[in-house]
Amino acid sequence: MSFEQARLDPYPNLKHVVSNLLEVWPQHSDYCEARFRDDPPGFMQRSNELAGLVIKLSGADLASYCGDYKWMCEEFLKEEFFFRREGRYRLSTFKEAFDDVYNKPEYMGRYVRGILISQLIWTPHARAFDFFRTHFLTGNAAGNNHLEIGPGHGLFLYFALQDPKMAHLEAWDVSQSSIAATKHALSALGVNRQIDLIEQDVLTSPPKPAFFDSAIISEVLEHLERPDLALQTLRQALRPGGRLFINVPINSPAPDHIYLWTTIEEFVGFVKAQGFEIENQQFLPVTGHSLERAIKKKLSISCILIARRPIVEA
Amino acid sequence: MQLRHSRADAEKRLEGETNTMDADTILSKLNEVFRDELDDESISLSNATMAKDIEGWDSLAHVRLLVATEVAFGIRFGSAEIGGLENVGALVALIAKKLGA
Repeated sequence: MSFEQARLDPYPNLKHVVSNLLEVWPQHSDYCEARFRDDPPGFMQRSNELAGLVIKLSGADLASYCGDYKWMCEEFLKEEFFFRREGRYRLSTFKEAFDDVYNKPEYMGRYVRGILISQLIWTPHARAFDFFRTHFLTGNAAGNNHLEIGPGHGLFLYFALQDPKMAHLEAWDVSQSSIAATKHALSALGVNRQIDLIEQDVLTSPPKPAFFDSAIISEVLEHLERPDLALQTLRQALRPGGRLFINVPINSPAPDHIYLWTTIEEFVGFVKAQGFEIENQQFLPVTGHSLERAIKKKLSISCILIARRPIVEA
Repeated sequence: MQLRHSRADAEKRLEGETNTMDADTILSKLNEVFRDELDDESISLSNATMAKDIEGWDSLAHVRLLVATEVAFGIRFGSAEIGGLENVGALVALIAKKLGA
């Protein structure tokens, strides 16, 4: 089995990224076959839009981004080995992750570039964007105030600001260098709308309680020692009835993942315990596997919840 | 969480048999490991079998297969040993070496 790139002819951005990737990493062909095997045309078209953004962000360095993606996958495999042997993530504190990853600029640079490519190539990442666009943003009302925690490469922010119902956009990060990277990314994407990028810790009380109508925290909670506190901050930041898009991978070892949930039920219960109701949910298994098999074998599953701050709280 | 395999149990099960396990026995036992991990009762390994011959044997599955093999045989692979395995025969030979057969 190998990937027939002709399948991507109707999706030139997607084809451009994938062909660059397979040039750098021909052995990834089977994986790409599994990734794009069953995608319906609408999703492929939206993935093509996402690929266009990835191309803009990578500029003239797409091949080097693909090389960093390959490197990142190899780093992840080391973590997978530890996880399968020991039944836990290798790191358990933020300080360990800081010392091992966040405080190493070269390592972080490669990691961030690799993650960008994964947004397109890993099924759960690509589908998370799609769910955000098709199920979360469509639920907003006019005059919407929106908050993102840890905006990173800026792609979720980009899609949020395409929504004409957005009145105010704000994003928080604890790191000035991350905020600078997001600003740079938004500029590369051609964004010229006002977005408040603020140095603010999601573990502390929100400056504007009950202000936001919508919020997103994607692939952040598993990096925290106290994700419960982060969710409680977000509940306070949302107005009653406000909606929160949560994306967390379970059983998903990575060099900087420190908080492990092992079942879908455990994670959903965790979110509910922080005072949220669940409006919608989607559980996305690792590329090439069914959800049933991923549950049975405790493979990585991205748990995507659209949660809501109750209008009347207990 | 039941993810962690019990190495002590595996070693106990293997007591008395490790020194007499020949390549055919290892291959047969390995076949069971693959069938279980990949959920595919039709798998029939030979020494020439390579990852591309088995549906689902990708890099992530490779990690799970090796860890399950470690548990089944009561051995531990070094990271340098597992990178260059060409086919199932090479894995059988490595297991035999680990078992001292």
